[in-house]
Amino acid sequence: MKKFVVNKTVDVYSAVKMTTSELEAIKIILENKLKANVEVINSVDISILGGIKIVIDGQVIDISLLGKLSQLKNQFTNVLRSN
Amino acid sequence: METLGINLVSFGAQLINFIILFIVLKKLVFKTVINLMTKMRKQSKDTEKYQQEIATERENIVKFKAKELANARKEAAMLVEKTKIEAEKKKKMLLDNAEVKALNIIKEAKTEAQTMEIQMMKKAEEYSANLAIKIASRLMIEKLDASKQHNIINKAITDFKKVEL
Repeated sequence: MKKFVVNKTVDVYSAVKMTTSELEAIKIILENKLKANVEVINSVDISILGGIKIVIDGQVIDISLLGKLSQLKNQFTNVLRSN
Repeated sequence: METLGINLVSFGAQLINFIILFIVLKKLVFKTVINLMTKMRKQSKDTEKYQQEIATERENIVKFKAKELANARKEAAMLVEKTKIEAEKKKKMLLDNAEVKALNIIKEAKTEAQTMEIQMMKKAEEYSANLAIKIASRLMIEKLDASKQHNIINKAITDFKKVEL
């Protein structure tokens, strides 16, 4: 059932295949944020280690473990450089 | 006179001969000889004067030579001294330049060494960080089963709610 005029397709990457409830939950959040009908396409990418990575019209929202590790790495490098 | 054995006629003739000869000689020879002698005397005086002039000139030349030689020696000594000073200046300049160059080389080498050290440190840091990530990734792959993965996904979904698009 379509609530909005605009339709959008959003890619969601995860290390394991997401359950229907998880996909539904993320779909609702996305529709509320984007004010559009959203189709969620889930792809498995084990390189992200855990969590999810969302790609909306080229914009990447990284909430994965790999992303967190990368942030940690940058902080670690900055701390070393400041010393 | 006759008692003395002198014939007056002959004496008179001889006297006349003598007078004639004297007159002839006086007219023709004496003047020439006197002129010649005067000329020779003059020449002798001239020669003597000339010799004196030559001697004076020689003396002047000797004095001039000695003076020139002294001047030349003095100039040579000055030139040697000047050359020594110039050589010292050049030597000092070369040494100064060499010192400056050496200092620059040392400075450049130090800078290069520091740059290399910084680069090596950066590489080491990068390598350490990458290694830490790799280790962490492996551990996560080994330790995270399906249940934990879904827990993490649910946590991520909750976090995503706070993200502003």
